[in-house]
Amino acid sequence: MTKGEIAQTKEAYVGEYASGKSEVAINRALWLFETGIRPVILVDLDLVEPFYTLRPLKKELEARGIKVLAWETLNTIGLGETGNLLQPVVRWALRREGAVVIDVGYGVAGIEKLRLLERPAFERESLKIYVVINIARPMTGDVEAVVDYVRALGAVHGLINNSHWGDDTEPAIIHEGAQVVTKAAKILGLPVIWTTVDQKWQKEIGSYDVCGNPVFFLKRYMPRAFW
Amino acid sequence: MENPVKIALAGEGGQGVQSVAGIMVEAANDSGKEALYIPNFGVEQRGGVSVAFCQIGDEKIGSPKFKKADLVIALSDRAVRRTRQYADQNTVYLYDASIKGVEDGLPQEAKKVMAIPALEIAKKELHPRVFNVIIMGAAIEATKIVGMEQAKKAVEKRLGYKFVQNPKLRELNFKALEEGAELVRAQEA
Amino acid sequence: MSMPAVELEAKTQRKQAKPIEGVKKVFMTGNESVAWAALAAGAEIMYGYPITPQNEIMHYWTRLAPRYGKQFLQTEDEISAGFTTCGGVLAGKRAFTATAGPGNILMQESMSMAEMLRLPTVVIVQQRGGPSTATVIYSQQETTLTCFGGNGEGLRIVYSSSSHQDLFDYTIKAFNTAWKYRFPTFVLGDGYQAKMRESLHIYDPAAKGIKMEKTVPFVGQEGMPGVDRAPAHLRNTFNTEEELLEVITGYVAEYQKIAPEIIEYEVIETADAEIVLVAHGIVARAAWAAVRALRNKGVRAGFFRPITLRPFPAEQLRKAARTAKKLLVAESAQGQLLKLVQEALYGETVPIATYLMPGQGITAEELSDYVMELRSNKTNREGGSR
Repeated sequence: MTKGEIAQTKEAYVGEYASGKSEVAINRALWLFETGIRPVILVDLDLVEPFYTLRPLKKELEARGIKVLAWETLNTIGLGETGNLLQPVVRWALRREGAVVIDVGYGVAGIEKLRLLERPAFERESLKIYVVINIARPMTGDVEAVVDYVRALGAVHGLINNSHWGDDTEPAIIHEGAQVVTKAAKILGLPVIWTTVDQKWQKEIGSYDVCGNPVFFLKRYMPRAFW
Repeated sequence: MENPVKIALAGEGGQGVQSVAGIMVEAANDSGKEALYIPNFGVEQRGGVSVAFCQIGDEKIGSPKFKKADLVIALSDRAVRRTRQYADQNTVYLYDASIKGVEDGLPQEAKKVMAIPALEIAKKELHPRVFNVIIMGAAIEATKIVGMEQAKKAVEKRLGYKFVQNPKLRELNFKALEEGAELVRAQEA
Repeated sequence: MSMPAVELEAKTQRKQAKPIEGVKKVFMTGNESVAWAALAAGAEIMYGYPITPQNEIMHYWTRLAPRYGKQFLQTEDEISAGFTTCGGVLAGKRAFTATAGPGNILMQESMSMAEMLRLPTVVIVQQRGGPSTATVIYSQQETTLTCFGGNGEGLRIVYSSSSHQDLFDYTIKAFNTAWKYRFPTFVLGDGYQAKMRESLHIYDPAAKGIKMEKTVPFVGQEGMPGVDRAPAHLRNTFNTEEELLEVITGYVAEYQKIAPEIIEYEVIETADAEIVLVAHGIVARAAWAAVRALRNKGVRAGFFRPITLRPFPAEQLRKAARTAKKLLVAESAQGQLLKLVQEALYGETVPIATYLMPGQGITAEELSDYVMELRSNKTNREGGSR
């Protein structure tokens, strides 16, 4: 993409429940901001899960300069998984100027929620949908499973290998993930956008993963976002 | 008898066990005694064994159930078997003479075991409906918890509204009480 | 009016003999661990009703089940979910359900029936705040309810999990314990465990030498009753007090007899302890971390964690208490674990301090700070309590 295109990029991060979508979305938004793009807008499109959304981090991220379209946690108390209302500003996220990064919550059903967003009037719009995959999660645990899963999502634009075992992560799972995701991507005819890795592994994992995909190092924000 | 007097009255649902237990303890209560009565029955909606545990004494009674009775009255074969456990060597055990096939069910060690032909008398001389009142007469004679006059007052109190419609019923019920008492006197003699 | 149980149609062509082959390290939420464990244990049907924070157990079961020919029925409420689970078990199926909070309360009616009929039901409870709706998040306030919530004597088996590995291991074990001993069995987790993400090893029980207990139908058995076999006479109601006393006395005797085979607990470094932290479930993890931190500071702290809350490891706790100068009971409730501890320790004179936080999580730092506070006698109450 050209600098101009990146400045107007519209990206949605989808994936299985607990695959790492929010963490990737937050880091991506911050990275875009650090390259000088203004505005950068981070959008919470998790309408089901009351836990582990980016909502508790809203104030902190806004202090860093990112615009965050999300409810404050206080305004969503008690609903549990009975669901959230779509925040009105979120509905218009894709019509905004600037880089828009959307965290699409709650798995397979989540991608349907993108339909709730108002699209720009002209076809210039190109929303990129990226699928975050952690092969340590059995539903997307091998090539066949990943292919099945991604096919069920419909039209998407790329895969992201976010394979890890949480605090018990070792390079082995990251490498295996890269191989599985890359193989699946080939079958699907999709690019692998990145392998995303906790920045503590910077020394062990270089700028490219074992399959030659670029590595994007993540700072961890989500552990502070339980509720 | 002991103080409080413990009476276990048992029959088939519909024989009037609970009605008569209620009248009896009210009689005791009205005469200034302390009375405690608890009904006991199974899960059947109709029939089944109906048991009344009555205790009458001078002081407030400690618990609704007792292990051994001073007087047991059983009005059916199932009732005989059900009440066997409440009899010991101090128990006076009454059962209706019409019950067949319960010889092995009767208590071995009771103070006295009496077969009284209450049902026969009700059918032949009075009216089947006053069968339970005959039993009440027998019970008060056996325990002396209240006098006959007090018993009649209690029956009047409970069934008086029926007597107003048909005064002959009063005479019938009072006669039943007296006959019941006589059945016990006859055996004790 | 009821819906027939749905044998879910496989959306994919994928057919696998077993849900899990061998042992596999994975990363998932606690609720998912439960669903995978039930699958691995060969559970045949889940009856469910949604309530936060355990919904994903149902979601994952319904996603995974079609591939392996398993069944699912969403009932109209938790009363029904509990009773249909009893029904599934009566039919001889490895059946289970899951719930939380107000749902757990509704299930007491069916679980009382399970106690009376000695049904091997399996229920996973993910505790949320209480009483009533409270919070959808977390607590340890369903301890009393899960252990003794019915109108009976609490003849139940309750495992308190403190990690995803526990949730997985004990969900599998629950099926075996239930079917072997015929007491309703529970796995007691909480909202934190349900939603948090961590790694664990999921496995095929056979890979670990675990043989699943056979299930047998209670009704509709083959053969003529009275001729080929004894009649299946299942009673949850009796006519007289004497009958009931006899039945319950028999159950209690059996429960006490098998208790030593079922009791599980963890006890660490209590022999020389000046203070022993007693906690269950996820609070036990904080307690354990606190004990390690305290030991590093030179404080002789010990740790006792009951894993089975029912039957409670009373003898083992008494043994640990006798060598301790003080106990500290920590829980996210106002004394529900404390009650069990005090009952177990009746007659022992060890002082018991408490750290009670109904509905709120407890960190290792809080506990070790509190221990230091107790040691310096900053609290002026005998025993120390919060």
